[in-house]
Amino acid sequence: VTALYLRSRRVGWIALLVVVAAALRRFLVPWSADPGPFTTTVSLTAVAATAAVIATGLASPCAEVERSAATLLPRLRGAQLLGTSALAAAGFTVAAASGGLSVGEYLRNLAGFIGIALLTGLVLGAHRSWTLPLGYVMLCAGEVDLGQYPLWAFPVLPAGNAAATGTAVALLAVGAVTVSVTGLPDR
Amino acid sequence: VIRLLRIELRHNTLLLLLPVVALLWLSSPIARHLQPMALWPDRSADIQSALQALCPFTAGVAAWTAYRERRRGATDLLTTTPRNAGQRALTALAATTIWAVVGYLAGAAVMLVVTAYQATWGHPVPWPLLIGLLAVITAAAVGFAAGRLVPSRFTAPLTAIGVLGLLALAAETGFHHSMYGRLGPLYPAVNLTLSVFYPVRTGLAVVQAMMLGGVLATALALTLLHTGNRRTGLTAVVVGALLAGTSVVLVGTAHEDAQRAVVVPALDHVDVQRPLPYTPVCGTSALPVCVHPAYAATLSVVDKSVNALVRPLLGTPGAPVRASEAPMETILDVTMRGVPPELAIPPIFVQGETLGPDAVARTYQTVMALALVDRPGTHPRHATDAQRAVALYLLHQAGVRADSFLLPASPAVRAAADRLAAMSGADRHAWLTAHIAEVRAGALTVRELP
Repeated sequence: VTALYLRSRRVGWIALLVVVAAALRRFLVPWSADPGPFTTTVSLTAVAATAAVIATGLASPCAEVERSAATLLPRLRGAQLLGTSALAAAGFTVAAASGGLSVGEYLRNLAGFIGIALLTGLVLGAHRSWTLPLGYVMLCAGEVDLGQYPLWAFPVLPAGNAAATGTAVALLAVGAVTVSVTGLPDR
Repeated sequence: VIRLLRIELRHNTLLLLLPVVALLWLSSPIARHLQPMALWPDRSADIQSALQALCPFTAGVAAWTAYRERRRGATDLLTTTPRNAGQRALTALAATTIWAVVGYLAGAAVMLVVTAYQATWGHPVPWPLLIGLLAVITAAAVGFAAGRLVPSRFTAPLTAIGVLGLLALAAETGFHHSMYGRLGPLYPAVNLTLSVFYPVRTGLAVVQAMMLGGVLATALALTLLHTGNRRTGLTAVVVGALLAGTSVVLVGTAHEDAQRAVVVPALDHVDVQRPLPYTPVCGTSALPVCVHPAYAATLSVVDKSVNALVRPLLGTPGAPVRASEAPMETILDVTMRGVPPELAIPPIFVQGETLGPDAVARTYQTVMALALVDRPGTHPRHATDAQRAVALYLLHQAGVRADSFLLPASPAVRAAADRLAAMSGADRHAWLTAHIAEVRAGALTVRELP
């Protein structure tokens, strides 16, 4: 059952794409070193892409049938989320550490973006879970452009900011628990 | 075909996302700066930069639309219908493109109307508007081609986010003087900083349009080839490759002129541009501040800020006799020029009663304070401690906090600034009269300050 579930969620592809996103982030370090709206965008797109892939990967190819017949789904979804998020965290840790970037900042942003993508998926459907993370990247870059750093734009706050870390962790926790229990609508 | 297009238009996801794009645009720095004054070249470029919000969503929705037959398991069913697969695909693409263009034109129309009421200089520059429009159409075609070629659940998110990343990366490299990065449509098609002082050059815009045309033709070609239209597809590939290749070659020959505008020799024969004539508008304060007529509405705010800073230096040797707006690329180029000296300041967009948001105003005033007390042409970060101490005093007496990056104040610098502030007005003026030339020359240490 687990093998069939993993295949239906394209977990192999998710793993590959997550690793590619982390590698791309490492490759782009020389072009995103200076602070600015465009470098913020470049930096956050890799994280947003990873979060979107993880959330979209939860889409079921036969949602209604599965929901009415399967009993193990919450556990399987939870395990999938945990596994893919852990892989992404490992990938970005290596990318950030080898590129001289702040590991804590990347892990925080990854957690927050995964949470946002999951919550977006809950409202709009798994296939459209990328829309809010995409818009959020633009909003954060806009704040950098204005030289403003409010808490709602937690990805642009320094790594040591406890409120920003708390926001990101809360987003991930709420998103992961809710999605593990209810799943994402197939829209 | 019209009926099919109407159905596609009614069911297109981009229609639902356009309000989201509008909200993003309204919360962007550009929309927050929609009042009270405007220059046509800048606003034209602002409209171009609206593509940053629209293109990624357009590309994502186009990709999502392109692989829906596969997602819904309807590929075999639709293969048996008499409708040509290419025509069906292009109709779906057309619907996405139409909504994207409608969104772009609606945003552009609002900006143009607002600007028509606010503009103090110039006239609408069509090239940036066209580049934005072409970029939106190209994003739809690229997203659609990606969705056709790689029909996967991950295609839409990766295309949308990838387009945003690519646009930002090209702009970032462009702003770091890479000519190839300037081919990206997010890089302003016209030179903005000096648009009130010199005519606008359009060579870069033409090259950007060629690159976008090339990418658009190639993306359409890939869709056509995928749907079996081999002949048209191959023709489009050749056209696309020629356009994109030509734009790369042309931008490779480009260089910057003295005003940092991009000159493409094959498209622009004027190497040295003549400045546009204008009569400055001047204030009547102790230090006259003169601005370009386009910025006349900002004169009182700039005048007040400059005079508040310069007040203790008035009447001392080497003090500026005037502050004038002059063409300069960045605020860091503020300096004293000529004999008798004038403080050259950049044209400043003032929105409201201050020089800008707190952080921006702090930067402007810190740079001006440093320029008043350092050697002309010195980078603000290279000021000596004595110069920093006097600049810090000037800022404090004007009621302004210093920008700590441009003016890092050590305890010794802060103490010296406090000592200056504690002196009586007459003693301070006497000391500044006797020693300000040595401060500017970097001949005094911070300990030698009173």
